[in-house]
Amino acid sequence: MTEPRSPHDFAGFDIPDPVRLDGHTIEELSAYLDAERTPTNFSIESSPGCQIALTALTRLRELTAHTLEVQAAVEPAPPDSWVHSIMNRIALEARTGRDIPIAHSAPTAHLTMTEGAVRGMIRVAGDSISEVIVGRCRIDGDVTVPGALVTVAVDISVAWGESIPIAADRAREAIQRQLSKHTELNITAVDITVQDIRFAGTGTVAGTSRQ
Amino acid sequence: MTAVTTLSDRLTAVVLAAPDVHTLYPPKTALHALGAKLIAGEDEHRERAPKVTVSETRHGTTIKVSVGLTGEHPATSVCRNLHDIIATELAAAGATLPLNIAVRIATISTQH
Repeated sequence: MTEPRSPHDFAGFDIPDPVRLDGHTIEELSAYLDAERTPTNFSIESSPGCQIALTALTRLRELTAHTLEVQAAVEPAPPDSWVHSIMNRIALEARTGRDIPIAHSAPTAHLTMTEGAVRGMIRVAGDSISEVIVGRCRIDGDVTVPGALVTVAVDISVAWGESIPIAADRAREAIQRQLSKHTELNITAVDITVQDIRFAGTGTVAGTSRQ
Repeated sequence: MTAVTTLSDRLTAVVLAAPDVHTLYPPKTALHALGAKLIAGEDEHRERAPKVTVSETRHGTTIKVSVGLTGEHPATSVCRNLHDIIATELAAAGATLPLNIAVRIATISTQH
């Protein structure tokens, strides 16, 4: 019999456990951050996936710490399962994924950008909105074919007391801006789903709102 | 004393000096895929800075490079520029044709 899924797990997606990035688990990367990245671990520092995950973990820590600071007097701490769920998503999405071609007229050129790099960029863009934490992002469509129609689906968590539509719009704008600047993907939509509201009442409020 | 600079060294220097490039990642090894513990013993000789991979045979020259960008300028433009400066270096070095230059953007930092 399986354990009932936590209401704080993002969108109820199955996540292979444990996800490894070039041999490192997300827990190892978190511990590496705890140790302030010393002594230097060459295997971690030379892995693009680990670097993407470390960036996202650092941002997650900043955001959750800030929220706790602001709301410590009246709100409970976020449940471990909620944070752990996002950490697992970070690990999953930091993996290399598909190669996205970059056009060049020279026949000698074979230029690509990894799907992991794009997902990492999307997460940073979404997390740059102060009231938003990105839970999950997915790129749908055949990104390996130039010009193919692509949609981006992002689940976010919004801070209690903030306007959900405004937060969703701000996250979408930030993500679209970065995608437009750095990729040649033919993005038809950036779908934002507000998966929950953080730290209200008894913790995270379950519920989904498509924006 | 004469310093010997290989084509890989030259290309590595050129790539690292290119605008927006902040990291050069090593090529993925088969051992990497097997896990960190297995490659732990490999760390000593891997601690040398990663280089651009050059494979030159009589059938042509293949270049492989994986980079992390600062994100200041569009990653696609930076990627094309990297190809062009590598191609220029290869032409100057008289590399065997045809050329195959693979540039992969592995990370983009956009926190600034």
